[in-house]
Amino acid sequence: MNEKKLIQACLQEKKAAQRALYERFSGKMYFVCLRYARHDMEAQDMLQDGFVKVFDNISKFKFQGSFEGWVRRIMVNTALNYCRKRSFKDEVIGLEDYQDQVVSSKAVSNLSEQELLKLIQQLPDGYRMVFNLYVIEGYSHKEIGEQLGISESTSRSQLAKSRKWMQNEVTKLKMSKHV
Amino acid sequence: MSDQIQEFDRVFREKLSGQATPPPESVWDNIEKERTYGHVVANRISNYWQQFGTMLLLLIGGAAAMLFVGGGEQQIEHKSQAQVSQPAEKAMAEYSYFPNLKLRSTAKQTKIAQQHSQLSSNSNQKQPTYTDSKSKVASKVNLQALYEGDIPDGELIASLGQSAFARPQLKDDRLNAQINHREGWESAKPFGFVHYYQMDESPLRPFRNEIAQAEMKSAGDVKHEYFDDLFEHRTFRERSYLYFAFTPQTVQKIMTPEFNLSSDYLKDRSKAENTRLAYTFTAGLHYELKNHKFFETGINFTQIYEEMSLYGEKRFSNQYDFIEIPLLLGYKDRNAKWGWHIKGGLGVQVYNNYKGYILKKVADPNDPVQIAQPNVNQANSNAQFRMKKTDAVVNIITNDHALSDKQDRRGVLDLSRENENPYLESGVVNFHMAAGITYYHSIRTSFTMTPHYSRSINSITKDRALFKERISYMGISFGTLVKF
Repeated sequence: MNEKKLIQACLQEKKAAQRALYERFSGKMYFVCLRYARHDMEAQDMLQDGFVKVFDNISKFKFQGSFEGWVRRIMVNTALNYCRKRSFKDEVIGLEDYQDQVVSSKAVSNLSEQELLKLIQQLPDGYRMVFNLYVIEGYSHKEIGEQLGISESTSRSQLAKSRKWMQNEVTKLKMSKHV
Repeated sequence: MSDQIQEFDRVFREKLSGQATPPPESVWDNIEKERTYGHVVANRISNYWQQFGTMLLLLIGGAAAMLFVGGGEQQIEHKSQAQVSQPAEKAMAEYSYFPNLKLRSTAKQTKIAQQHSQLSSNSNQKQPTYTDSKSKVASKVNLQALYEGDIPDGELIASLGQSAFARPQLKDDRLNAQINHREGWESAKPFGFVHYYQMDESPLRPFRNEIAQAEMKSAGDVKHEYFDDLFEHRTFRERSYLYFAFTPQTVQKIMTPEFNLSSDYLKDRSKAENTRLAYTFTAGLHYELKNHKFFETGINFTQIYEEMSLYGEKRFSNQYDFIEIPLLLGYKDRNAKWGWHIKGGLGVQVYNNYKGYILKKVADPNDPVQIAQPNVNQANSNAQFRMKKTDAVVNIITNDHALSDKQDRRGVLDLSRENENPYLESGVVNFHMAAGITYYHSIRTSFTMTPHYSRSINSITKDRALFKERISYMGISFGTLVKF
């Protein structure tokens, strides 16, 4: 069944079509949620909430642009809503203690996807959101600022700190592998 | 350094975008449960409410019709008592015409009272069922049984009542805030119902978790609700409803004389004129703005029909037709199937049409109006001139506002003649205010019942008229909102 027919069947609340749609996108969307969540359980909650919103609002998809992009946008927004409610204010991680060191991209590419995912999940919420939105989703600082209700400069500094933190962690991982 | 950073970002992007990991099967099970439960309950509620809502509307409509159509005779009776103190009209009060009316009216009231008591006794018989079901809600409800589709009717009705008539205030303020936030105009199914019901003991994690992790924010802190913006940016079509309403009304004329007009003339008019029919039919657009506000405009067609009686006889009638453009702003809120609304604003009458006659001021003492006294000995006079309820409809349809044989033409103004008509043909501004309830029948249709008050701000008379006349209207508007 092509995508358009699948969406139309979902509009008629057909269970099989909803299941097929879920099968088609759940893997990718779960990975998106994992990037924003602190752990697997939270990612599952985000995924569940996101898909309920997708099915409830599928009539609003106007067949303009990619459907996957639309679903992904809902997932990202659902994930942001989760994260936003855990405010940045409570985060104390003392990033200033980390040394300025630049890790080569080769060191990063040697790490597996799962290892990188674990690293992202360990980032504090605010840093994780900014890092995901800027580095992986490709949003600008202005767009991130608007979405998260923070200033552009805050977004920049959060990104810089998250990079610094990631680089430290990559170095640690690299060293532990050598040991 | 900058290149190294970009390279660092690129590797992350390439490694992490487009990846997929299958989620556990339990996620789909939870999605299915959450959605199926909501739909099943929504459909069953819809069936119950369709029946109940239709019955309620019929009852209210019937009661209103009795009130407004049957009102004319009692006014006449009341006026006859008021006139007793005036010597010139003592004969009229003693005239045997009015006691007849009183008898008829009393008999009618008795009949209505009987019907009412029958209805009350019927509803009393059903009362125990409702009480039982209500008490069930207080006890713990087996949610698992509900999910399996085994929904006992008692529990369903009880929870239905709970959801429709009152929003449960929970202990957790953040939870209440979240409900308020989620309660949107677009909830096609009674979204609130499902979640209120699940809230305290829900096995569904996301809702609970979301709430548990929610933090209170002051309004100023929330700069951008991204998801809500995506779905609440609705098109004109999604915000608009066709609005139709019928408003039976009582009208009151507020008449004040100019400096050189005796107030006796207006007193005579107010004594003689009986409003037999007044209603407004509305067709327009109901447009939802942000934050539960709405705007209404369209066309109001108002018709007032009056009959003039002198010495207990119908002498002539008249008819006012107004076409008005209302501009109203309102606020509405809803709780599952029921909601309330309040609205107010101005309306401009763009076209007024008048037919029939009104009493004329007698300016020249040498040209007295000859008001013929009825012949008391004439046996048929009462029957011949008695006002009938059907007169209003017949006269409007046949456009017949002819004078009675006993009415002197010199004593009246013909409203269809430009040089005699003292009323404005347009430009009257009315103030409107109304508040009422809404029953959300389905996704597309809802019904409203709205007590309505309006009043003309400026006089409906021309400048050259020797008196000012404003009209106040009071009625109950029965409306339907239909989504495009």
